[in-house]
Amino acid sequence: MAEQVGLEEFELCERCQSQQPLGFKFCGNCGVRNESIQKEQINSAFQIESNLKFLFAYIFIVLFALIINTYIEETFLTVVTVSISFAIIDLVFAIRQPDCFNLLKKQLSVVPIVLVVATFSVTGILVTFLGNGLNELLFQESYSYMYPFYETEFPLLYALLFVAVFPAIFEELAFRGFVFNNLEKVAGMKSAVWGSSFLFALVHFSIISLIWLVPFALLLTYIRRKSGSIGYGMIGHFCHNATVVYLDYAAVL
Amino acid sequence: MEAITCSNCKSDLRTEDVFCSECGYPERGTDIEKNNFERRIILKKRVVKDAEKKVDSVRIMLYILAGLNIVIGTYYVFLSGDEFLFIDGIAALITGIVFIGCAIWVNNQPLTGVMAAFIFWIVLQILAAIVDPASIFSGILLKIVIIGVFIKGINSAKDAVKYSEQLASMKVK
Repeated sequence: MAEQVGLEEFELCERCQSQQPLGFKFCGNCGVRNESIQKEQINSAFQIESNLKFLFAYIFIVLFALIINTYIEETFLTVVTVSISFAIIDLVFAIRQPDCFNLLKKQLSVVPIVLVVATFSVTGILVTFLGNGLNELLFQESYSYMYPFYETEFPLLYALLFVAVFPAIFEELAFRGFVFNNLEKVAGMKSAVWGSSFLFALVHFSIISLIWLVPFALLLTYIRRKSGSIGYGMIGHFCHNATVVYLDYAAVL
Repeated sequence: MEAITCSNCKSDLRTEDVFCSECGYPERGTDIEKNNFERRIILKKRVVKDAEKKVDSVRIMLYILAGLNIVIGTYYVFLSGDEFLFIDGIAALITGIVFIGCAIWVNNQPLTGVMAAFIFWIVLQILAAIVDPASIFSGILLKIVIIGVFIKGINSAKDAVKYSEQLASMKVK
C-alpha cells in the first residue's frame, strides 16, 4: 500500500483511493477509518476474547476434575492418578500458550534462592500450626497429608513427590505462568496479580483456607513479577509444601 | 481553502482535507455529515452508559450477597452459640468479605472483577453441592437469575471496554 511520493510517505485510502499520510487514522477525503489500524483493533478484541475463553476453559476443567476428586477415596493409587491427571491438564494448557515456558529460562542466582527457601520454610511452619489449630478448633480433627502414603515402602519420599514436587512445578506453571500471562493481556498487571492469586486460592476448594492461601499466592506472584521467572516460585512452593509434609510426618513419629 | 484546526479534537487539518485525519470529524463537510458524526458519538456513549449500568447491577448484587453472608455469619459466630454453626459462620464471613472485595474490583476493573466474582460464586455452589447434592436445586430460580446477571455483566463489561476504545479513537472524552 505504501508508496514513495517525494520526501513524504503516502498510502492510499481503501475507499476513495486518495493519497493519505502513512499511518493515517481517518481518511481526510472521505472520513473512513483506516482499515489497517481498524484491523489491529479487531485483532486485539479477538485476542482478548480468545484469552478469556482459554482462562474459562482451564478453570472449568480444573473445577470439574476437583469435583470428581472429592468423590474418590484417598489411596496411594488414586493420589498418584489424580496428581498425574492435574499435571497433564496443566501441561496441555501450557503447551497451548508456550510463552509461559520462557519464564523458566532465566538463570537463578544463589542469594534469592536462599531467601526464598528460608521464607517459604517459615510459611510452611506457620501454616502447619495455624492450620492444625484451626482444624482442631473447628472440626475437632486433624488432616494428614501422609495418610495415603503409609501403605507404600517409602512414605516420606512418595509424599514429598506427590504433595510437594508435583504441585510446585505444575501449579506454578499454571497460575504464575499461563493464567497470569492471560489475565495480564486481558486486564493489565494489577488484575493479573490479584486474579491469578485469587484463582489459585479458589482451586484449593476450601473457603476457610482462603485466609492464608490468598496472601501465600500474592507472595508467589510478587516474586514472579519482580524476578520475571517462575523458578523461584517453584522452589518456594516446594519448600512450603515439603515443610508441611515433613512436619506432618514428624508429628506421627 | 485556508488552514484550520479540527473543532472536535483541535488538531491541524491539511489544506486539502475535508475530514480530520486524527478523529474523522467532517470539519469541511456538510451539516448532515457533522450531524451524523455527532449522532454516532451519542449512540456509542449510550451503549457505554447502558453497559456500565448493567455492570453496576452486578456490583449491587455482590453487595447484597456480601451483606446476607455477613449478617448470617455474624449471627452464627457470635450469637448462636452452636459449635457447628460457628464453622459455617466463619465461612460465611469470609465469603462476605470476598464478595465485597469483588464488588470493589468490579468498580476498578469491570471485566476481571465480574469474572472473578462469577467463578467464586460457582465454586461456592459446587462446595455446597458436595456437602449436600440437593442444595443445587434449592432456590434454583434465584440461581438462574444470578447466573443471568453475571453473564450479562461480563458481556456488558466487554462492550464498555470496546465502545470506550472507539470513542477514545474519535477523541471524545
